[in-house]
Amino acid sequence: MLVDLLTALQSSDAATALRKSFWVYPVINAGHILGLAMIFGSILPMDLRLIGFWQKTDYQQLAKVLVPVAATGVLLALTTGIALFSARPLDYAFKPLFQIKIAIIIMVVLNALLLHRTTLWTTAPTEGQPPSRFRIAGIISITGWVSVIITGRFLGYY
Amino acid sequence: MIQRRDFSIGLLAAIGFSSTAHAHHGWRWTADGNVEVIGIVKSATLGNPHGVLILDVEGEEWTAEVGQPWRNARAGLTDAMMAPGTEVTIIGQRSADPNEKRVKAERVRIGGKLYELYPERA
Repeated sequence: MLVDLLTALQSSDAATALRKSFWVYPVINAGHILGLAMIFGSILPMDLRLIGFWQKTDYQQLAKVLVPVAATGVLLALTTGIALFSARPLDYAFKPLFQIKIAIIIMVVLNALLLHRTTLWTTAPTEGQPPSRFRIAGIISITGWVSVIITGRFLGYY
Repeated sequence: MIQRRDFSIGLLAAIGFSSTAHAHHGWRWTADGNVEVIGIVKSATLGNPHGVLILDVEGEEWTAEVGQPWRNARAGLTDAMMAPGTEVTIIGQRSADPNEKRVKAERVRIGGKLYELYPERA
């Protein structure tokens, strides 16, 4: 069932054109890197603030700037990632490394969404010591995104 | 309050960890010096991100990495020329692991004609 679906995706016109392309594939690849640069570049200062750095900086103000950048990065990485996956879905889908990467992505995105849904997110003092709920979310986020980058990079080699 | 120093060390560790091991890209995983592998194409998976030929070399199975589409096209190689059943000679570097039957092509000979994938490595 899944194999049939992936085979259909792999033999689709779009995926075939992508496999045969000279420059489109590397450009999409670059877009994927741009997406994760936006994610990590914005999420790292946000997470560090949640962990306890820069306590005099209003975390709500910081979030207003950094969260939209991170979310746009996620959208870009997701669309380019689906395109890259479509070139060789049968190669990637059954690799444990790929499955681990996807699981971690789901985990870190859920981690961020859940944090934003807590009442603490809107009611915590905007300056000073962060609550432990924030610290935990920040640590999960940093280690998660670093793991996503490492597993993603290693997919190119194994 | 976490110290700035701890953060720097953590980041350095992350960078160090992410730059280990190579298998496909570049030439760090190959041994110096060229080898010639002559075989019959059993199956071909060509196109982005990697072009790979599975070869039957006198009963042994070898994996040959050829170029991406632009590199093959520049050399004058088409997908049809590397179709299953074709005899090809792969000239390139083999895996530094002597147990791994894998070669990365610098040039390919088919039907007596030489196709240069990496002219700068000649």
